[in-house]
Amino acid sequence: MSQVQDTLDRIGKHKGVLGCIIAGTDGSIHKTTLDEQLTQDYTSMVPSLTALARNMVRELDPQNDLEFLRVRSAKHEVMVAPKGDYVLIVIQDAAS
Amino acid sequence: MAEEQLALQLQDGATTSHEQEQDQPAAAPVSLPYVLDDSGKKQPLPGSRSIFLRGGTLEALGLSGLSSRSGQLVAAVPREKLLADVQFQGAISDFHCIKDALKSADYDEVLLRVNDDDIFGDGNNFEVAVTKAAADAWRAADAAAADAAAAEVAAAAAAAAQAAADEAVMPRAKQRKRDRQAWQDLGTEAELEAAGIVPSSSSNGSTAAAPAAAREPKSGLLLSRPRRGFGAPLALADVPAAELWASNTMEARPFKDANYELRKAQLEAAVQAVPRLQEAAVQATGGRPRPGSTQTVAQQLPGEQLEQLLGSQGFAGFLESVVPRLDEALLQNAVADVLADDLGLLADEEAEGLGGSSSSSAGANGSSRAGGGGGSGGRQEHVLTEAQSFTDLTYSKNKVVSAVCWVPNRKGVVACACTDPASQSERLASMGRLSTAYILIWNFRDPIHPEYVLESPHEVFCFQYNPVNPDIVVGGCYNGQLIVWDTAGLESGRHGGGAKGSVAGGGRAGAASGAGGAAGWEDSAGEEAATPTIRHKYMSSVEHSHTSVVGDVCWLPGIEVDRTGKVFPIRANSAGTSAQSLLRSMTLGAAAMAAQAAGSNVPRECCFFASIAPDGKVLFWDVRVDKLLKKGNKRMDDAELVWKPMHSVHLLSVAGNDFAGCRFCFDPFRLDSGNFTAGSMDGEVLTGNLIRPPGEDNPDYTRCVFAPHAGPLVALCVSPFLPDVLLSVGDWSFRLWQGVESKVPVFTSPYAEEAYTAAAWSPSRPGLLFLATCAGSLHVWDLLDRSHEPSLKISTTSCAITSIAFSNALPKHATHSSALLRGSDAGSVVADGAGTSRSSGGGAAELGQHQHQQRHAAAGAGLQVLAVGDAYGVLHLFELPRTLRRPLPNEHRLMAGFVAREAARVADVAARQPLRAAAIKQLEESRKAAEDGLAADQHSSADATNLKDTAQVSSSGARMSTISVSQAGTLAAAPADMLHGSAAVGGVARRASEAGERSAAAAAAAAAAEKEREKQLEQAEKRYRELEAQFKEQLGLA
Repeated sequence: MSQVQDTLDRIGKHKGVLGCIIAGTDGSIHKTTLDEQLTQDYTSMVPSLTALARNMVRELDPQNDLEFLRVRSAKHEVMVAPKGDYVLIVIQDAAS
Repeated sequence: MAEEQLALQLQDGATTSHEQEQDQPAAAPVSLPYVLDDSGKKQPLPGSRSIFLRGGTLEALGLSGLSSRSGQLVAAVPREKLLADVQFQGAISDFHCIKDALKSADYDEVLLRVNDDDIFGDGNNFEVAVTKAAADAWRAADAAAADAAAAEVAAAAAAAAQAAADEAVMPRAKQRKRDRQAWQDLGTEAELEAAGIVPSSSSNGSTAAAPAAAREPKSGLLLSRPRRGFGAPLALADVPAAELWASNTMEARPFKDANYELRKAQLEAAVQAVPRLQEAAVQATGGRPRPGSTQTVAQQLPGEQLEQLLGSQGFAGFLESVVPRLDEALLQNAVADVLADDLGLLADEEAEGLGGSSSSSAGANGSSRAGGGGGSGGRQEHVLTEAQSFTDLTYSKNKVVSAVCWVPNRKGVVACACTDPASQSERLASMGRLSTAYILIWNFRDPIHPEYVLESPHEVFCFQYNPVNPDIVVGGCYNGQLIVWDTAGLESGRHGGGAKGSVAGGGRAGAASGAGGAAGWEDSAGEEAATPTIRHKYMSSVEHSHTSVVGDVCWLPGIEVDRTGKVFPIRANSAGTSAQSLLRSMTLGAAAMAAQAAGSNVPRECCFFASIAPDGKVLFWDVRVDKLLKKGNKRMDDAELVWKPMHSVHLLSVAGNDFAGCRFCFDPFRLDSGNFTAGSMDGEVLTGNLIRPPGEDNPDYTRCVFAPHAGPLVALCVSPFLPDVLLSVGDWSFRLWQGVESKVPVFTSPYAEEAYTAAAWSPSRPGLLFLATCAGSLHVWDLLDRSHEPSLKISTTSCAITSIAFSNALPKHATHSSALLRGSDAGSVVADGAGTSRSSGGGAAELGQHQHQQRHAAAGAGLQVLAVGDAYGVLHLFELPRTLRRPLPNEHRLMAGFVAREAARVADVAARQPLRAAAIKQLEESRKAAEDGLAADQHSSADATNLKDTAQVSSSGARMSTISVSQAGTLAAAPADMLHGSAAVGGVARRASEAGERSAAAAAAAAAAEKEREKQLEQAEKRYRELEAQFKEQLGLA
């Protein structure tokens, strides 16, 4: 438990990191450093996108798998690390 | 009931009064207050008088209340009162007229009766009864009238009572129900029967009153129409107009309507396009369909479940595997912006580090440059921007800019010569006549008015500024004359801050005024709206000039040519005007003076120039005409001056005719060696020497002449960086030469789609060439970028470009003189005498030269403006982009390498030429031999048939070897192939010889052939090795 918190704290210390979310692929929120509304928004959308991206990768090559997903937007960069049933979402300020 | 009774009583009363009334007239006739006379007019009763009583009288007598409306008509007035009134008022009394009648009245109380209706028509309003009888009659009449009125009133009352009674009865009558009654025939039926129409069948014979039953049954006709016929569309058919015209169907006859005679000038019409509507409906389920696996929704987990989950093993594993990736990504973001827009930054980088990468690539592979000149990106860097364009309505409109030249030592001043766009035949027609032409000098500061113009009596096709003294301009005219202007007056006038200066030639314009030369400026300024016109100073005599249009003029700085055709460096003190002219031309003069002070042999004087024309002559002129004049017979009049060339060189073309020269240039580093190169209208290039060989009457100045081009040469210029590289442009191609005598160009361009009309070397980039085409586009050849096509094609104007010139290109020979200067700076004496060879000075001079040229190139890379004159008389100025003006760091060396490589290639091709020729010859020989052998076989087959096969084998072997030899010949360029081919040939020949051992004759022949072939192969191989070594040496040199 504390290990999880430590990891999130460490990630949060990086420059420009706005927050981290650990969520299940089904959309369940496990751990978050963001406020509730943002967490809700991200958690309801990012796992879907990750599943789609994974689908794409697997369609192209069934032996392959999605490792990491970076979404660069004008304001933020959303980094998604999926593994198994969990997804780690980190939102970073793009200007950093 | 009571009402009814009352009404009855009233009715009764009314009837009684009626009875009385009716009784009275029956007893006596109705008395009327008047009598009717014969004509039916009413007259007063006898005994009464009609009078007019005024208002005052009426009031005095108390008669005001009388009127027919009030019903009181009669009043009695005592007779005395009336008489007293008459007596009192006299004649003005109203009763004066009846005074006698009143006096004689037979009763006292006189009756007066109002007559306000004026029934007698005499304008009076009263009657007076003067007799008792009349008064009685009145009374009776009034009583009768009153009775009548009363009777009327009673009758009206009775009628009203009757109506009231009726009304009281009516409601009951309404409520009464009428029962239906049978039809009562009152005779109508009979009438109808009589009037009725009886069918004729029954009416003939029998009477109309015959019973209906006896009639015959009626015949019926049923007209029916199908239902579909109703409202069916009309079926109209065409009827001939003539038929229709007279027929009854033509209901409306045609007639002429004046309205339709009117012509409609305007018609208003409207259409409306109604979009076709389509209704469609689809049914879709709400929401975006998503696969089940991706349907997620944020959900909060209950606390204990969450704790359990976070503490689980799987979760820890997830975190372990995922976090390193995230760290990597974060690190990447921290170190570098991996998602930066590299393409967006590309253009900036190229703009900044121009040429850096491209030069490194060029250095790496040495053969071609990938980026830079024609590379990718940075499109803005390749755009020629038109900075300005000059055209003048009076001088250059609808003319052709035949020559462009930048004024030396002045920034942003360019001169262009304008000529009429006349054809040859048009010019022939106007030959000999004066056709004033102008050279316009444009300054950037005023794009509307030329700064000044140089006037010429003939059209000028070429002109050059003196590189040392830019006040002197020399031009070549259409008729072959040479013309010199001196702008010194203008320059000094301008520098002096006004137009007060005088011009030596211009003074003649104002000869009429006593002020002479000083007035010349004022006059021309007034006429030409402040555009000063300068007339020529000298003009060559017609007899001693060219006989056709001057193609090119060229200044020869630092040398002098005498009448014997000898060339020597100009004597320092021979030119009296030297110091002044140097002082006048401020900038270059300063440099030259500095050089002079340094004691170097700089050509600080330039007074000779050469001209070429298609009459086959190159003439050499001295502009120091004043000096000649002093030397001569002291004629001071400029007009009578005979200005003759100092020296004339006659050139012959390939065919032995006059060399139709149109362009020429001199050896820049050995001007006093007298070598020059000339190009002709026929595409010929000629090298010659202007120095007259001693002791010959008809010397041949031509060294070498040949025709590399198909059309007239439009440009012949030496590269400003590589003085041994000459550019010749004609027809659709250009060539680079390194020594024209070899007759083989170092580089030949492919043919362009449009003919070239002008060309120039880039003044700052050694590898860049600018060629103008007749279609108005500029081709920029970057020979270091690509040599098979122009690296840039720029469309500039819609018409042909006629001339181009670079702003910071040094004037035609200043480059070379400055190069001389630099060479001497480097510590080597160059061009001291006619016999001095450049190679003696050697490497040091060249090294210094290169350094200086690099420096010059860097300096010239600042701002570069290309002046382009077109066939519409417009002078365009284009600013060159940085890529086209800034040289690569070692471009000079690269270009030298390019030329050397090309030269080596040419040499290699030339060296292989004999080998190829030999191979071709051998091929032909062996083919011949094979044919002979075949013939011999056929011959010998008559003697020995068993030899036939072997002979055939031999001949086939020979043929095979022939093929191999031919292959070897064509593949001579590839040494391995050749060796292989020769080995094959040997093998085949050997095999052929083995086969031929059976036949002595065939064997002998084959052996001989083999030996010969081997010998030849050996020779070929040896020659190839030599060539290879040579080539390697050249490469190493390059």
